[in-house]
Amino acid sequence: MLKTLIVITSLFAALLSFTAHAHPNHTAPLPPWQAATAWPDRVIATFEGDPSTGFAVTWRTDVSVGRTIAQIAEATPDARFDVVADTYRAKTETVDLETFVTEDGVKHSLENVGLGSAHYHSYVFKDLQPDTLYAWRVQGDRGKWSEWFQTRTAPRTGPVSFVYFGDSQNGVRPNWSRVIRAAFQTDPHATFFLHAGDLVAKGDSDYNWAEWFDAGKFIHAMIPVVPVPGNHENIAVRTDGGTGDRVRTRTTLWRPQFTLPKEQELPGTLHESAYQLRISEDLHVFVIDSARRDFSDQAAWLEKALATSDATWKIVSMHHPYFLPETFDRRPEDKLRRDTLGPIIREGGVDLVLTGHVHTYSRATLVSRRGPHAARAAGESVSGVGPVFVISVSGAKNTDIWQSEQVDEMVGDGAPDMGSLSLDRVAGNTPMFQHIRIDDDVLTYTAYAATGEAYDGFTLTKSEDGAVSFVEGDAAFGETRLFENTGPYREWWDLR
Amino acid sequence: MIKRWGLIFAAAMLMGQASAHPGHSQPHWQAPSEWPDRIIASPGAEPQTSFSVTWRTTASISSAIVELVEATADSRFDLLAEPHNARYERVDLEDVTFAHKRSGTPNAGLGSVHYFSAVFDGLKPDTLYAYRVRGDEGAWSEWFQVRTAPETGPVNFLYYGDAQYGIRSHVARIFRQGLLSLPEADFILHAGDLVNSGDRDREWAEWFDAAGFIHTMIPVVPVAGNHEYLETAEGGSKDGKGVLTDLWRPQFTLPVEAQLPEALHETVYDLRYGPDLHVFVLDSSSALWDEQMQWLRRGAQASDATWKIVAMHHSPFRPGIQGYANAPARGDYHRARQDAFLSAARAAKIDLVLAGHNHSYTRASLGDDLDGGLPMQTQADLLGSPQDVEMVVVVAISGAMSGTMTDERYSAGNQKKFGGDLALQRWANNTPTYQAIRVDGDRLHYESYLATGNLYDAFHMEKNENGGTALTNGDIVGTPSRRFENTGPYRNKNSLR
Repeated sequence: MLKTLIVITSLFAALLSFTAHAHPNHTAPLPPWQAATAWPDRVIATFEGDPSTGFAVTWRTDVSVGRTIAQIAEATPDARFDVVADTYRAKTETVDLETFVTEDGVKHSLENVGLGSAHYHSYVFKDLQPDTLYAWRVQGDRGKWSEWFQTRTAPRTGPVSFVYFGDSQNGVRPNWSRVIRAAFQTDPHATFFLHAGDLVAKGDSDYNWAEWFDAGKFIHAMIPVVPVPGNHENIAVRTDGGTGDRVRTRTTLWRPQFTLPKEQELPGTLHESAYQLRISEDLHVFVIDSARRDFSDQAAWLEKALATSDATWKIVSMHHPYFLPETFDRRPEDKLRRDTLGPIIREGGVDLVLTGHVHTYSRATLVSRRGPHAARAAGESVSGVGPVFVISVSGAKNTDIWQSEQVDEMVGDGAPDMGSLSLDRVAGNTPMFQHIRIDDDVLTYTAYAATGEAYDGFTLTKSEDGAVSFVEGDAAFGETRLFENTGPYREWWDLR
Repeated sequence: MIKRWGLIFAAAMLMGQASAHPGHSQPHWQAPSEWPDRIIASPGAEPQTSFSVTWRTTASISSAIVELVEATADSRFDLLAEPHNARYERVDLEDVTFAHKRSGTPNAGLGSVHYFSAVFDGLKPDTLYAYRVRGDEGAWSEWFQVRTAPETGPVNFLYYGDAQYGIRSHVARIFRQGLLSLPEADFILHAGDLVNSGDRDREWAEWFDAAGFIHTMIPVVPVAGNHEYLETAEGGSKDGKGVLTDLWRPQFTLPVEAQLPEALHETVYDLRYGPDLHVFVLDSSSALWDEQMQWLRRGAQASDATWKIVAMHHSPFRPGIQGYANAPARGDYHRARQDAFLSAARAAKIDLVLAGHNHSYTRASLGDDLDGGLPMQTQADLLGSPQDVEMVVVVAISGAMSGTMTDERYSAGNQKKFGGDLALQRWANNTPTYQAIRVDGDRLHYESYLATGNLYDAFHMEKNENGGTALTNGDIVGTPSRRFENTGPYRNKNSLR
């Protein structure tokens, strides 16, 4: 039995090295930060169920590693905290990187020629104590361990904070790395990091995913990741075994890489793409898969989930903005998404909607027009504010949307065709990360540039009857960063 | 159930191991490639206006470049970057001087590598810069952000004792947790014995991998320890016969003190941080001690910094470990050096000594009649009330191998020389820690943290008008000392995986 395994393993290895040489695209060796080996890499922590009592870990090896294990111990101050660790058998799945076989069809990926397959391993640590620091590690081949990572479970009550990133997508390893690391320096104690879709440019590209994992390195393992799927996490497959029509569907790398909740009320195709996380007594996060053509299942699920949640703060994250600047708002599914999900978000008591997609920064609230933003002052309290809608970008691709004359017109005075939407703060040419802290009935939001400087900020305070008062901070009134008053920009093609 | 699986699994893997993996291949976190790795920043001679960067590739890369730009909030901050040439040196890993007792090189089969370095100077103080380094054509590192030191205002840094054992497996959590407590540190100080075998590439790979990108964004101030020295046929660093590993200078680019003998270059240097802080790094494993003492006296006496800190691997006090306190002192060699140091440090008014080596945590004050003859337990009356002190000496450990000191032995061992002038104020076994230190005008704040991020030791020192220093212990000092008896199980280093 064992011998067979070894023979198969060596056969695999032989085949792998053969294929690597056979393809001219990959005569050069892969970067060491991409190539799979018998050591664990792409190690990441996520939430799979209750964030206060468990978390999942997922990692990758080459196909020589079959059964393997993960260990966990409560992180004590002792030199050998590890001697009392518990050992668990991992779940292992094979991912074919060259041929993506999905329910909708098949894609022969030109991105991964010569890469063969990889093994993704995962384990869900359960029955943990809330707000407790755990140390865990994962193994590849025998003795080839990761380091011990420390991860804290979410607290049931009390303050929680997290960081939200818009699209990383372009220049991920070269340029986005500074954004996620600056975020880590700003709040290394965050309960989770939320990535609002388009983590990479090509959802099937192993190189792109290698960039994303390498940019975050151990941050992804220490602070659980809440990934939201975007349109770039979809791939074009062909029906009829690869010969028929082109259909867009989720990359088959998504599920093996991220171990996420499965909402039983949703159809299997939405499992691990649309999910909810009750982070703490105060905070409930709902992740929507907006990169679809039909939203009815998610709308029904979201409506019910929002209605039954007693959390003080309800936050929705989805890749596509609820509203879009005009030029982006043209696909039939954009209108359908707004029509289907919009009323539920507006009426379901959602406080904050965190999105990406447009490669710019904007923050807007649903409130009756209240005069130009510049005429207002930091600290001024506004009531009757609907959800706050944020669009952000963390990657190097930035879209030049806002022109100064328009900004004067739009900011604070309702953007064209957006009814009662008040656009309060925008930026161009500025990758950012957003920090959100929740402490009982106060939500504090701050948007930071990659240099760690605050660019935008506001506070929401909720009264007993659920009414929200909205106060913008000083950062919201600094000079607007636009392409015309910032440094030079170039498209991202040269970034590597 | 789980246990059974584990057993079957372990047995199966044991049987299979030998045949499945013939040969000794390097893990991806060790092997050099055409891509830059082991990237590390260190302060330049003037940390306000300079820093250095060092990295490594395979020996096939001979021309590498580095780019630097002021970090802005723009998407393409990188477009204005300026290229700089890097110097390189070849290191034949199989040919590095190895410890005499070894039967052969610890780096068999590893061949040669190139270490590259560049020093950026003429920079603006307290300014965020972005840099990246290149190996082969197109094989760039990511952009790293580093802030130059401020000209005035508070200075913060992290200090770690010996990593040495379980570096990648166990110390990684300490390095990373340190960043959680002080993410905006101006520098990170490692007080020697970064690795166990200074000649072994694999252990340096562990050290670099454990810190990950931390060492690329916060400049590192490394101190050489006895494990960075190798034993020669004539003897080891204990009797001044050891040699510094050939890997030290290629992998760290540090200030060179021209007036010191070449053997001390890049292991003995000083760093001035604004008006408040002057750090003197000593090489306590080098035989050249008199030269260092003269240099320290000269430099520290002339310095007008409010706070003067020495970082060196060996403490000037006896460690209080078993078999040490009552044994005849480890030779006059050692004692003479300790005395020379104390006399130089007292003359130069050194406030704080940051050390390692003993693998236990100890923090002791030297002063006039500190009542230190008594083992310091919970002397509640000392908490919160200032004491006049002359110098504080800390020994810390970040690695997984714990020392075995006790407060009684510590006090007994030092009683003869210091009488009541030495007070052990906090100690621990079985406890890796990291320290966050903040210097702000007349105040120095010191905190020592456990691997969990919880506080274990704290004090602050304040300068008074006549140049004296008053130390106030934090409340945490009143909690029980961590010893083997009241902490979790310990196993020795041989069980580290």
